[in-house]
Amino acid sequence: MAYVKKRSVLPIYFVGGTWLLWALCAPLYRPTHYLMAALASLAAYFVGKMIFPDRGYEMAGASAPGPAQPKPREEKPQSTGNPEIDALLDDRAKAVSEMRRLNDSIKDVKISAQISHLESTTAKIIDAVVEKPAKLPQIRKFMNYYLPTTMKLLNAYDRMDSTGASGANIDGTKEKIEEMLGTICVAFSRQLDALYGEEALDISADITVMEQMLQQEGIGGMTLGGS
Amino acid sequence: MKRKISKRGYRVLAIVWALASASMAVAAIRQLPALNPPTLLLLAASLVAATSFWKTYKTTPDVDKPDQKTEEKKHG
Repeated sequence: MAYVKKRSVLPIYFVGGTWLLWALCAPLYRPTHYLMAALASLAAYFVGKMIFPDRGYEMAGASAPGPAQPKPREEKPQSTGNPEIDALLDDRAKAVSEMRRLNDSIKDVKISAQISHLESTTAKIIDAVVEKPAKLPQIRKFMNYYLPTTMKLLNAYDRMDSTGASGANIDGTKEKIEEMLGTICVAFSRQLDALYGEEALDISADITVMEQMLQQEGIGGMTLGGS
Repeated sequence: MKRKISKRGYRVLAIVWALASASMAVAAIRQLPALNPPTLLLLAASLVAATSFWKTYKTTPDVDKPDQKTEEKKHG
């Protein structure tokens, strides 16, 4: 799911409108007049920004528009020198491209949004491990079981959805997968969060030590005003 | 890196410069019969800018259209 920010153009039109209004109502033949008109248009721009702010919205299954956006990294094969990490990057590329294909194929908006979430979370999980390969054992079960099973479920959903048929088996299975996808989204997010557990502990310990040192030196937040 | 302006961006620029040239035209008319060269120069410059942006807007391909599939999904 991509966050798209749509800039409001009305404040810019306000600038042009202010100049026109100024030319109609006030003199515009000395440099000071131009300066005053420019200040008035600047004020109009900020007023316009306040009245018509930029709007942002989530767009399911789409990347943010704009020609300056770089191409996704997974499309580029790269070698890290570590075969395990290379295999991981390969799995990442395969999983992400498969999720994109399924996202394009499945029409349901909710499922589509969930697949987008899974896609971004999977990429983040693998990126975190690529950055710190020591975390690799933490995602073994994720890579060997949870991710392949999720792909299997999504593929099954896609196959059943594409038949266009309705029946106890198809509808029941689709409903079960829909329910399960919510749980999977939460589980993937937790898996990503768990990867930062060690760092969180380290930071917490650093904060405690620093607080104690500051207290001992008498320059802690509590004693700063008193000294 | 230089940012590429979209078709929508060129339209905004064309409209703003059209407003600017209209302002300068009004200012020039209000100064009649005593016209001063800087006003005329600004009027000419803003007209050139507005025309140029309008022409660019007309020739720029539209790549801002929303993804058709996403729109279909949104509207069922």
